[in-house]
Amino acid sequence: MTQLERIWAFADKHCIVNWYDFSSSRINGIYHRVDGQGFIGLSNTISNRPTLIKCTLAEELGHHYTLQSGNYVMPCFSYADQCGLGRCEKRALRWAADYLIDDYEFIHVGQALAKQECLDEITALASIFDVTPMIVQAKMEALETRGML
Amino acid sequence: MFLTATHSAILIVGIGGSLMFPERLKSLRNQKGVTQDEVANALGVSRATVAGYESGKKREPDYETLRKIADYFSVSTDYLLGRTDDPTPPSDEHLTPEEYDRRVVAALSRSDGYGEPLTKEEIDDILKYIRWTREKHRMEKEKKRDS
Repeated sequence: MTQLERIWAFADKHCIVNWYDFSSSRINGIYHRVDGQGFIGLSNTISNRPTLIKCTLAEELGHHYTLQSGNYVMPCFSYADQCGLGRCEKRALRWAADYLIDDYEFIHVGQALAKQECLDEITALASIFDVTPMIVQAKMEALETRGML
Repeated sequence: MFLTATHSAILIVGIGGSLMFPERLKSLRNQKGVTQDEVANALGVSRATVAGYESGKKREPDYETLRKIADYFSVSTDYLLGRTDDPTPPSDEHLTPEEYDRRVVAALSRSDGYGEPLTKEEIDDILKYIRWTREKHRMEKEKKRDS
């Protein structure tokens, strides 16, 4: 079972996942909750990009698990638009990063890249772990917070 | 960016003469680590207005602004008004579809949380999607019940 299949099964179990034709190209996905039921909407524009599907699903699931009870709507934007994230988005991204990447494996690979004097560590790590650069950054922040980096 | 906080019109009565509101507002702003300018931008008012709310001397927010403040800080309006010490917003279970949609628009119209605020078209798009899922979910539930 691939990581995408695993997260898809997980999301499907806890939320209602739908594909949708968002007219805005910067919306990759959206999470919203009504009376306790979580909904994840994925943009059809990312349907042939497995890495983006996986990361968007993980981030939206992050909202599902990190938001308090109540009714919410949280859009997930494409990487280029994810600057100046708010607290909720950061929490969701961190949840996604921890779900998708193991702490020790990340540190091990990061150290190996540092030895090779890799110039673009974030892009390299994103490629190795098959995630978006935002997830890599969130993982780094999470490890820093935990005093592991 | 999220939807929380409900309140009824009667709560606004509690604002008049309450010393709690200015203190609570200032304290929430400090906790969130935002400036008066940032709050003013999120609420769509001037910085002086926010300063006025915090000083408690002149200004009091109207109904709509009070609701925006509660949404912005994710607290209940009762907490803002000093009627409770529990900041947790009400659970908002069983909102009417219209009320939910209204809150979607209000929450998405705020610019906090993302670099660029959503455009009107994007908000309409999201609203359309939410209505679509609501209808689909309702039909699926009915189908299950019938079978």
